[in-house]
Amino acid sequence: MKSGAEIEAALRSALRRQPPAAELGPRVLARINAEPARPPRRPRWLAAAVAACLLLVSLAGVARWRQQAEARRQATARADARQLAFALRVAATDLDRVRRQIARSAAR
Amino acid sequence: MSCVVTEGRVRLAITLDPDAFAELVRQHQALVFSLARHILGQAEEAEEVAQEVFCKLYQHGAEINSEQHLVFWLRQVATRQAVDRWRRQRLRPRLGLEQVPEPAVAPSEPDPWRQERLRRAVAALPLEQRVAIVLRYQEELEPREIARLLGVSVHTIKSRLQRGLQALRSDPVFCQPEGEGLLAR
Repeated sequence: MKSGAEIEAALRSALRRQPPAAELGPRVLARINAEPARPPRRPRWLAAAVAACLLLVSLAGVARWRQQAEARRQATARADARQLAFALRVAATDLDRVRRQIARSAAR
Repeated sequence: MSCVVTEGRVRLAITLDPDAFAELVRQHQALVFSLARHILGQAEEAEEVAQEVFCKLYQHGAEINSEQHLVFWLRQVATRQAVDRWRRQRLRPRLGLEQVPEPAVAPSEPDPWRQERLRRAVAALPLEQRVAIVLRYQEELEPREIARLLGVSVHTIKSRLQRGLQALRSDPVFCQPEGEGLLAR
């Protein structure tokens, strides 16, 4: 069994830097030249601004849709109330007529 | 890209001069290639990683402002790229013992077969321990510097180094006297 210092020395020797088999420079340059030129990157704030705009438009759309739905619901409720009031008036008139006929029959 | 010395400090400047960039690659290729090779355990994959690192350097050169910064950047990016590639492909070390030259060396010279065995033992360590060992003994970095490079605590690095060394100590390459491995072949 080797001592700690011997192991460390062996590791330093085994792991010392070694160049690759062939020069990397020309291959790296060839690779850089072969890659198609990238379009200029859009700044990050632009993407964030677009996302924020889309979110705002979506939120405004949802709010507007809910407002319209509420307006439709209120209009339906008002129409229902009007119909109910009319029906009650008709019923009251009919009842009054029947009550008067009964009173007349009783008087005879 | 080229190195420009200003007021005693080395500053990098983008000049897009292919010759200067090739020279820069030549100066630092051993660092980048060896880091990748010792982490991945494969020379072909290590060359791929080294090329990717230098392509990134070409793209991000303007962000580098000193020779020290350049070396730190290369170590950091080479380590990350090698670790990413290893995790992506789950590479297994493919160190060719058959490629090691015949041991026609003087007894005082390091035994190439033994060194290859040692590299293979390092390549078989768990990834995090291997990275710490390679940065410590290839690049001669202190645990504090390794911690800064990898973005973890010094305590974590010391623990990884200790566990890595412990695992290596029990490897047969350290349990047999020099030269015995040659006979065992």
